[in-house]
Amino acid sequence: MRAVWRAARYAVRRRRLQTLIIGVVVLLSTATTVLAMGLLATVDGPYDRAFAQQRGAHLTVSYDAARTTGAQAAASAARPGVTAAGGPYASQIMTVGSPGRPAGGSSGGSPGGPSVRPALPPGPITVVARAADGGDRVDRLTLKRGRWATGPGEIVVGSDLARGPGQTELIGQKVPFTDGRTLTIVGLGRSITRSAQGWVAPGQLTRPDGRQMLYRLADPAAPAANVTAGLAATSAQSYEVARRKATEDGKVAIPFLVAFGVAGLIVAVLIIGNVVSGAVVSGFRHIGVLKAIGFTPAQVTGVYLMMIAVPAVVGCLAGTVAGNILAGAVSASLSESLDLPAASGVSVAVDVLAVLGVLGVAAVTALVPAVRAGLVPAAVAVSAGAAPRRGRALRVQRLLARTRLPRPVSLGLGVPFARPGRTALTVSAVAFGVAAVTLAVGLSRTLDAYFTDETRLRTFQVEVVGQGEAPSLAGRPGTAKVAVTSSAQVHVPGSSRAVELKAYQGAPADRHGYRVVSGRWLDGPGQVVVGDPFLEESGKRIGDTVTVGTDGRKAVLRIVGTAIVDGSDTFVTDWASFAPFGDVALGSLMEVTLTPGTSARAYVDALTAEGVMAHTTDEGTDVEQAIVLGLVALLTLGIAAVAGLGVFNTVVLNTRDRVRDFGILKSLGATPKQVLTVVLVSMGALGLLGGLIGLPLGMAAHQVVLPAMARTGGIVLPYGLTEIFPWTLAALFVLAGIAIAVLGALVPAGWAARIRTATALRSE
Amino acid sequence: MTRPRGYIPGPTRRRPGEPYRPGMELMVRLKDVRKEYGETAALAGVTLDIRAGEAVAVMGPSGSGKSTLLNMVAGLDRPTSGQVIVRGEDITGMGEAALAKYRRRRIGMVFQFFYLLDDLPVLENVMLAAQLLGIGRRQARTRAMELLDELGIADRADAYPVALSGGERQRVGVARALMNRPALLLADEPTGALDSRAGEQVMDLLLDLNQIGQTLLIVTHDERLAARCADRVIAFEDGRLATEVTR
Repeated sequence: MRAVWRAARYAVRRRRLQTLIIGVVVLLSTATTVLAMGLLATVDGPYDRAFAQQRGAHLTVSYDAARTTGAQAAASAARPGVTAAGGPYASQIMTVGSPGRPAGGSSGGSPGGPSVRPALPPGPITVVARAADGGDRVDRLTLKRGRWATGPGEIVVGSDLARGPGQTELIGQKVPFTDGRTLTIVGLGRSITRSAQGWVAPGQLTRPDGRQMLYRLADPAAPAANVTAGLAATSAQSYEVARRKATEDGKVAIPFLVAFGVAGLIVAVLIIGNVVSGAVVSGFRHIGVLKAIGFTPAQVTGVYLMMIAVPAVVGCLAGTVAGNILAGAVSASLSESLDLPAASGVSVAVDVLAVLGVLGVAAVTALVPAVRAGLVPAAVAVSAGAAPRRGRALRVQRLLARTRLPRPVSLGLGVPFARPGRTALTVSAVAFGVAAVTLAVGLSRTLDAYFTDETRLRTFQVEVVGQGEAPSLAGRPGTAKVAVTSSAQVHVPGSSRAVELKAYQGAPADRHGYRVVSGRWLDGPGQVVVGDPFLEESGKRIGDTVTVGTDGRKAVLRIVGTAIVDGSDTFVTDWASFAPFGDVALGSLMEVTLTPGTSARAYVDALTAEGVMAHTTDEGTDVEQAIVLGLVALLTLGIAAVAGLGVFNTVVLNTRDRVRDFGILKSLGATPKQVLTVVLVSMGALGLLGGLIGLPLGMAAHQVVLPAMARTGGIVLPYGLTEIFPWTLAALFVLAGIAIAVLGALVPAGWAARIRTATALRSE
Repeated sequence: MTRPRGYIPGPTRRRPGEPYRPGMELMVRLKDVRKEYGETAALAGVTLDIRAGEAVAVMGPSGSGKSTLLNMVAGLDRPTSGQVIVRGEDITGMGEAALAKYRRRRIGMVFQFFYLLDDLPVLENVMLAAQLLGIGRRQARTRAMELLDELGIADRADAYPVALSGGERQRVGVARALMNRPALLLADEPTGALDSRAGEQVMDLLLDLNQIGQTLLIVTHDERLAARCADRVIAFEDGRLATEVTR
């Protein structure tokens, strides 16, 4: 055993570069794996844990204050199936107004006055008067920043509401409401059930219109009617809706992150296998020497396993630490941006799984060639590299020699055919690398395109709140198009979902930037376009009708298609079909498309100065999207780095393997430039081949993996979102394969070109 | 074996059978050449002249500096100090590219372990030296076939080195070395890896080459080779020229 350890130790020392590369590849692979697995835990598990901890409400009901007394509402806590209840709390739908025109919403304000940016996005919010002492039996609130409201004129706003544009420091800001009141934000709070968006101290609501009750149920899926029967409930929200709302942004990212995790693992397995096999294959002569001096086959196998194990274990442990640090930092940002409870970091189980998995992969991939090394006869091992090579490969070389290509070029092109095993290893390394980068970049581009489509960033640049300004906006310098839209909260019978029914003034056929996934867009009244998750959950299909209603208003609409909508709860219909809901509309918005070259910021500032409520869409870009995209970029980089190092390692081994040949060429009078040409051409050829194999592999993986992963999240990706490889990008990936191979070859090629010929001739 | 013919440049040429005559053109001059590897001096101030058409054998124990000397003359390695002048050209200060061109035009090398490219057939191995010089494929092929024919291995032109015997491989090595009509043929233990019969054949070959005027610098342990082929035998010891015997 001591002999094995000593031989392995010297082998590790002698092959410093190879040892370093194995260590770094394993480190990056482990870190990527831990990061991917840690992130999945971040967006998936914490909601349920926090729901249990905070005793979230399975059912949140608002009763009409005019028709339900506090005692009646409180008595509902005793109904069958209710295990605990909170409330009743006075509640009121209050509408946030513009700072310039706090009362009435008229176009008054202070024209020419200072530009005041809104503290909160305008529109209605549910405000509940509630003392939060942390001892609530149901829906314990969490104070994230500041303090709870204790007196008049104070409000604590929901941290989800505070995720809007430009919300850097809310505490201390004043929020104007359209009923004339102005409240000061004293804290940011969170209800795991999302029972309200604002909380004031008890007794501070001037005209409460509702009594809020929060229930925990023995059967969380039980219908709300079991509890609300006989009472005038104006809304009832299941915790499933809250859960979905809380995690839906993350859910969009989950399939992509899973795909990345899977891609990262596959690349790690392939590259580790490639690097480890290369290490064993390149050491054949060393194996022969070991055997010649009396090492048994088992000892030789042991030496090679040890050679791999040393850098693999070190890399794996360092990678686990790095992955935990990265995952911790990213998880914290992601939890914050998604308004999810903070994840407790990467669990020990994930770490153990990653370490065992990566080391297992390294061990298995090392074992096969190491056992082969143990079994190969000493004489064969010693003569490795000088053994006769016959057949097709040599015929190719002869053919190349007959071409009119400069001799260094034809020699370089012939090199890959000389050692098919090594060539296969190099080509597969490049192919894996290019495939991985193609897949990663594809995922990143699709995710980016999905977010862009979801937010329709390319369609309009400014959102203006209110109604009646459309004509003046249309004639305003910089305005290309104004789309007036209105929306209302409606319910779909038989479903706990509350959906936003949205409509645009004008021709129904105008898509307003929505990307149709299946079916078609509206072309007349009575039609609706929905999100795919709705079809998935409701069991409905395109062509079916859906009834939407609220407060006795009802419309029957035919589903004509699905589109990528903002959130999964948006229905888009035409203006005429929306008419019955006009008087319960949440408000109007105008989506302004600017002429090219117009500054959205300047446009908005000008409107704000005139007292018009407006903001740019880039301000509205969700932070979580930026984080997810940044994360994807990080993972892409990690995968590319692992793949690049794998290629580099193989190319270095390949080039070093041929140093004696380069010495011979130099002794015949080949200049350093000619030697460099031979090396670079040979590796460039392998890079090209690997790129050409890897590109379709990566594209195919993207086509297969991504839609499959997306479907698990209820997302259907339209054709256009998976066809995101223009030929220029595809060519770039192939060139990347060549570049990686050539760059990998440059170091040893430069060394081969500079090396003293006498030294090169002596090398083995 | 067919006597080699037709590839020796004019000025160095002697008529067949004509003995070496001192005073011919100076081919190689080493002036106080030192080569140190760390603390060890492989060459400790060697001064030596070799004239055109001369056959010089360098002998000595392992590590005495003979191969280092050969590498200096071939431009495969650089001296730590001193000068190496070949046909009036000081190669000591040449860059790598210039040295490569010098080797192509002036030097032919024969190695103990042949150093053939295993991936190329015999003919391509021999042609390679000319092709690196920029000679066209057809011309190189004609020349290579001529040499292989003269060395008696034309029938093995399409074989790969690994299919040849040691003697055959060394003849391929000699053919390759002669491909560009070098002024100086350097041989490093040319019989060292051969059996006695193959060794004899190579000795005959070198003798024949020298007889028709090829300048030879042979590094060898083989006293028979030195005695048979060399006009002058130089013995090296500890990086120094110990004795010199002119025949």
